[in-house]
Amino acid sequence: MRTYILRRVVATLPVLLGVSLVVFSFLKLVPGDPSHALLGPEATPAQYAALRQALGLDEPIHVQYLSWLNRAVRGDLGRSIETREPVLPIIWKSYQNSLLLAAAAFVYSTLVGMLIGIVSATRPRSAFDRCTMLVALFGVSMPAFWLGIMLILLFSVQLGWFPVGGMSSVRGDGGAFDVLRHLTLPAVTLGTLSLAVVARMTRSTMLEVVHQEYVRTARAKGLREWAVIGRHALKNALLPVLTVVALQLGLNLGGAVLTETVFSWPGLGRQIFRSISTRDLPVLQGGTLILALSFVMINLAVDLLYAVIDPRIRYRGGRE
Amino acid sequence: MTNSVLWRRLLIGALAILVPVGTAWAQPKPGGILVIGIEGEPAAIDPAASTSLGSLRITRQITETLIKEDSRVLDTPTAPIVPGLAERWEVSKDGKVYTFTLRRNVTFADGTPLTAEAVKLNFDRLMDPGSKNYFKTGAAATAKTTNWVKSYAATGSHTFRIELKEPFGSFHRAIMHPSMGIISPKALDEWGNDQIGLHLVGTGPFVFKERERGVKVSLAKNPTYWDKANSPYVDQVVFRVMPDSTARAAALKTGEIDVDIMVLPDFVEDLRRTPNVEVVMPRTPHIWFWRLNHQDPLLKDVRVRRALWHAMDLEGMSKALFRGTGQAAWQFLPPKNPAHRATVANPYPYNPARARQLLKEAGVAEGTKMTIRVPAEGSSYMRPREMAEWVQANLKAVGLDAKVESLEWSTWIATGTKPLDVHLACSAWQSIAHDPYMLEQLWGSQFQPPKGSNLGMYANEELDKLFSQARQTPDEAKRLALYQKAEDLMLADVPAIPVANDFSPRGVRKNIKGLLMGPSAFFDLTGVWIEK
Repeated sequence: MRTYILRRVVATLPVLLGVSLVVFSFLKLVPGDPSHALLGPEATPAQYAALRQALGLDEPIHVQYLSWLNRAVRGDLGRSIETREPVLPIIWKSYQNSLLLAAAAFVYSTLVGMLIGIVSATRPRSAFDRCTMLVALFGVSMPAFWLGIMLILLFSVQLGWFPVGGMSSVRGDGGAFDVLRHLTLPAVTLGTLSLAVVARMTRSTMLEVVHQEYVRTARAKGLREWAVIGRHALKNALLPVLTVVALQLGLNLGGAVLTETVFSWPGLGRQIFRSISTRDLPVLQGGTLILALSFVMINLAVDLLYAVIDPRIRYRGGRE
Repeated sequence: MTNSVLWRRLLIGALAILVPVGTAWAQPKPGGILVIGIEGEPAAIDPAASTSLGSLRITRQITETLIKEDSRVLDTPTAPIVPGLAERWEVSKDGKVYTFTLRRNVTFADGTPLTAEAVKLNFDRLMDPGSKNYFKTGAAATAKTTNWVKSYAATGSHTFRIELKEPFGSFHRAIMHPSMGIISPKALDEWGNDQIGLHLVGTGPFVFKERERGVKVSLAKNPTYWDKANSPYVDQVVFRVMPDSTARAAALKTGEIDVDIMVLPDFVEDLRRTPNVEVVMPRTPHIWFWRLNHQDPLLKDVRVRRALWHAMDLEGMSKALFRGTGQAAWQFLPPKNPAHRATVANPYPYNPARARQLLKEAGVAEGTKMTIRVPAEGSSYMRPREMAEWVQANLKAVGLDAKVESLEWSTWIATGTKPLDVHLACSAWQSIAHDPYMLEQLWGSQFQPPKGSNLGMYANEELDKLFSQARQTPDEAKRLALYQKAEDLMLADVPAIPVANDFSPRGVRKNIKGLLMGPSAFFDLTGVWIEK
């Protein structure tokens, strides 16, 4: 098992290298460069050219990549071209903010989603089941920014229960409760899509499992219904659900741009999106690398969790 | 006592109490945090690091220029020019030498005194590659101003002299651009060009407090600000980054922000109806126009260019798309430009029949294809896609088949580095639109790329002569008259087609007092106070 983990960790290095190369190439292929973002549209071509030169963008492409890589392997991710701030603190801070949001969305979507899925599976084709599956359909179809704006208009503007945006109040104390208030609407917005997916997935895997022989046996043995569902059925239904849930978490870490924009949540998704817009390569590289790393780690954690949940799964150091 | 006498006495008594109380209520109250919602992340908080309005609006509160605009005067044709760090300045007879006399007893927020030497070090930063803090990025960003300067020197402890390469009548307007803000040399030495953006020190009414990327930039009141009559009332100003326009408008309604710096046309009516919120329209100098590609055979004939202008229903477009936040334009100089004339009529009003006739005369076939290019979005660009589609429909009605090409922002800007390769491309100018010199910068033949922004490659000798004369005239009245003559020529020859002026609607909560936003792209926060 330890060898397996080590192998997996070592295998992340080529992944990160590949990601950095792809990101670099894409940004260089797209027209426009940081001089355009910094000077805006009212500058002269001579000004753009002078700034390009000042920023070192005139050097050959491979030189630019290698000098970035040279510093990156030493832990120096450089400075943002847009604001000249060091990249690592920016990326780390926004990553933590995204983590908080994604974790909140994860808790909400997983708990509520699984609950709905389990109950629907035990009462198939009932009114509850039809109703929740319809809501799940809406959840999957509603765009995040539309849902977010609707929640803002209702809960912030009309009712005044939650703030419109940001992570904490500008004029407030910024304490934990303040952050929690700010976290609620974006977490619900971000989590709703995942919730719908988790609910449907749980429902279908549970339905499959509930008809298995061992479940019938458990019931025949006289076990209470919650024990049958909770101890026997759920554990076996969990694996595919776990995969889905982990995928959603990974997606929400970096892909929550729309939610982060609507709620002005200072997360990594928004940071990466903006760095593409401003062609801020150091920030883009730093951001995508940390995301790639997260994704790899989440996948590893899920694979290990499989072994915990299903004792039949064992990893060895050799080829699986 | 009769009833009327009693009522009169009661009224006088009431007034005697209420008026003094009322004026006491109108007294500015110090304290509080002003929160301004902005639409995008600012670049480095360093006046020379970029030319984006978003950053300069902030740096202008921290650093000051030798002379400046008084952006708090409302309802004037243009924001007046007033002394800044220089209490007076003289221009030599030949228009080439500017001598600034600096105010005495002004200190930077870190306690160092403002001297001519400090000003010189700031110019070194932008112009002397051998100097300690030479800033290549800043040199590129401020080139439009510094390219005119032949030499500069501190000729006394508080006199600073600039000699120009040739007379330039708009130099005083160039030197007041916020990118020329003076930074404390001590801070520059201590932090260097990379870090000054997080430690900016100037002479202005506010000081830099902190920056949280993606969240906000905070400024605090400068307790040692030299202009005691114009010291800020508020303790802090927070520029809060809120990229989504709907969310920003919602935050204005709930009071989470006090000012929304950019209100979309669709929200204006709703905000006006909201109690505690008002919409102000500073009508900054702004012009949105179509660049025409003069290298394309289709547009070489002036009849075709005039036909295009006749074909566009700009009043209709303004009514349909701007909802009172902008107006149709038919002059190249916007209303808040000193050379603008209110009396000039639209030379080519909407007239599809006339357009068809002109196109026929010029031999343009029915169904001729064209391409129109706009950015997908961008501040100052109003509603580029919808405006392009409106014009596309107008052109179709006169037999021209126009395709609309809409580009992502940075890609759009990148197309501005070389001559046009489509027929029409829109452009919107704010930061130079306050001076008629902009006409030469956009349509003078010496400003064709790469030197300048005449991307349509327009060249008109007679116009160039007028531009040259105007540029070198130090007498303001004569200078403006020459530019007006130039504009008349342009209205006849149609180097471009003016489309619209943006009023720059902003949302402000009613308890924010003293925020006077005059016809300038920049605003002054010193008079602002918060009524509880």
